[in-house]
Amino acid sequence: MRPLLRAELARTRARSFVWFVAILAAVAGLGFVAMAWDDTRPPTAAQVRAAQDEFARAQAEWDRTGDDRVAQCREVEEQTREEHPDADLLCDQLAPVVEQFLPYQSQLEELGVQRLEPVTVLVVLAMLAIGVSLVSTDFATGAMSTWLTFAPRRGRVFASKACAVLVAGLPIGVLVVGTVAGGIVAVTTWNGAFGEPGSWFWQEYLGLAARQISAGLWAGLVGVGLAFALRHAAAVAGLAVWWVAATESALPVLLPVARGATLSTNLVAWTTGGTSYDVPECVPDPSTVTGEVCQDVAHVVSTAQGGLVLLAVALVVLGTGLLVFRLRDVT
Amino acid sequence: MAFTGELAISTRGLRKTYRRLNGSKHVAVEGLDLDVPVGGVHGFLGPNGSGKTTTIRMLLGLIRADQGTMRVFDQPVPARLPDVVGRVGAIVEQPKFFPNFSGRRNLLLLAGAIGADSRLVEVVLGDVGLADRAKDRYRTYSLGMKQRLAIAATLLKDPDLLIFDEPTNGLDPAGIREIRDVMRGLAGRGKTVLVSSHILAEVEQVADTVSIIARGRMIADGRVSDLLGTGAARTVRVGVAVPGTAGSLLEAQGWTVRRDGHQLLVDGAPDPARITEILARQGLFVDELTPVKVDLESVFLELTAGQGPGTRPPDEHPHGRRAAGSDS
Ligand SMILES: Nc1ncnc2c1ncn2[C@@H]1O[C@H](COP(=O)(O)OP(=O)(O)OP(=O)(O)O)[C@@H](O)[C@H]1O
Ligand SMILES: [Mg+2]
Repeated sequence: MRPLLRAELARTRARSFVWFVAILAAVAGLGFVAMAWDDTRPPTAAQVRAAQDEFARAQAEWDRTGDDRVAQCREVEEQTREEHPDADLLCDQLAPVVEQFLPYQSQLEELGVQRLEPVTVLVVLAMLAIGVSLVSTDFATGAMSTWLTFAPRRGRVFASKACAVLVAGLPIGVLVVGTVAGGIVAVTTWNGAFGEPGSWFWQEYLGLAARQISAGLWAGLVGVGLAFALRHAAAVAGLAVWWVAATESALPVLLPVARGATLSTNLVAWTTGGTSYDVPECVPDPSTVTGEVCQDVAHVVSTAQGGLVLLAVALVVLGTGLLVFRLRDVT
Repeated sequence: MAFTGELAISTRGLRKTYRRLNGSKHVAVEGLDLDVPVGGVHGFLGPNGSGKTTTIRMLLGLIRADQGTMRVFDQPVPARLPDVVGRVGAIVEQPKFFPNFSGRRNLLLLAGAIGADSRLVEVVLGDVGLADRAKDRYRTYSLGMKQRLAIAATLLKDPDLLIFDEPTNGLDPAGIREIRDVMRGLAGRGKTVLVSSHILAEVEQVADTVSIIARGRMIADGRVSDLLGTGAARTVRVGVAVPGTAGSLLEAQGWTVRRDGHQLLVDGAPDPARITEILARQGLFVDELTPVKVDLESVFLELTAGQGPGTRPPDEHPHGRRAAGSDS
């Protein structure tokens, strides 16, 4: 098993498709870094000038009407305090400040997680493609048949492929997720929007990144399993498209409860630390026009539940792949 | 059983059906009893599409047999294949190696995967004459070089049984000769070589024993010499001063004699020496005595006549001829 894995890894490393997909995914991830950069961009000179103009105008206005407005404010405050003795309308802060006229600059803490989340899709798709290609290329070129004449134990060949995708997938996942996660921190810092992120932020941010990498490994395994079962990359792609269209998209519309079982829900639950989805629940009510009253009820999918569903899916797909590989002719 | 003694490969009642795209079934191998004796080169002959590759794939566990049993070195396969695979080196059709790696790297990778000594890599590269191109990428290799690399790969395990499926496909005459020499050399070292081919001439010169199949059925097997004897009757060309007298004498033995100019063509004589003996006893001296060369090709063509692709399926063994090639 170990020699087979070593050979498999050497071959994986030499595949230009693997490198291509990994680099493509990392480059695509830079899009999210760019978004974070855009979010935290400090005001441009023109924006600052415009803001100062605005501010000057507001200040002039304030100089004219400020006293009246403060007096007005106090009056309202007095009245409010009759009912709410603690009311404070901040009447002494009504004067304009220049920040009011500048675009809002988000801080890392506010946007980091949000910008990193979509990388899940990227990692999952990239690793799926890599996992599939590791196997389907060998079937397509006939290398599988040659390989099996030297290493006829199919279970071991299968296991070596599955392990190879895990070993290769780890650096790829680190590359893609690390590029984006590191990039977001870098650009926000560059833009002076690092702020003072609390430890809760780092926990969430790094936890998300780690689980995204694990989701990538999961996708790699699923890719290997599917490719062993279907052999052709085109067949796997077809199945994936059908799955997304039918199970991930159409089914939840027809049957809202099914949303909890979709891969997307469980992937989100696993990577982001739990999610929820709404299912309308209706009770008969003759007094209404429709004859029933409906209410959206939130269903929570926990991190663990998401992880377990993904694990089960991976096991089923790998099991099917192994079974098919062991039974079907290889020519 | 056609061969006595130890067998490297033995199949009984082997059958394989392929399902076509339209759902119909196609019998590729039907009730095949193949015996390959240990030692020597065994030719596995048959026209295109006769089931040679299919049989080899079944032996190697690449595809499943529908029926029948197979044994390799007396171990049932595919059940015990992992145990015997170390003793078997095989190339099936055109083997595919990793295109981005050099020939040497491919072999090193294989050696690592199968637990062979990596020092053997240089040895086998030399054996197949690929040493000076070993550093080039596999994808830049010519067909012949790919085939040589494949043979080199099978030698890595230093196997007792080598299975070569059409090893000389795409090779030039020099390449064919080299492969032939490799096969002879292996046989000389006590290995068993099973070589499949649809080109008779290629196998005739190296094979000790052959099996001829057509449409998935065995139609003849045995020693090459025996098959040559049974395929077309053995003919001997006899040169004598007085062909007329000599002809009558030989006909009196029950042999068929034809005149060919000043010479005689004698069919049916069990041993050319008998001809000399009979004529000499009557004071007739032979100035030429040569067996008319009957090649395997004509035997093969005769045996497989009408059994190529696209012809009507034959009845059970139409020629009813199976050379009983005893090893005695
Ligand atoms: N994967 C397959 N699917 C369907 N039919 C097949 C398949 N492989 C082979 N066949 C059919 O089985 C028969 C035997 O094929 P096989 O490749 O064993 O012949 P062969 O003796 O090796 O021929 P050749 O000398 O051309 O290599 C042929 O009729 C072929 O069309
Ligand atoms: Mg063939």
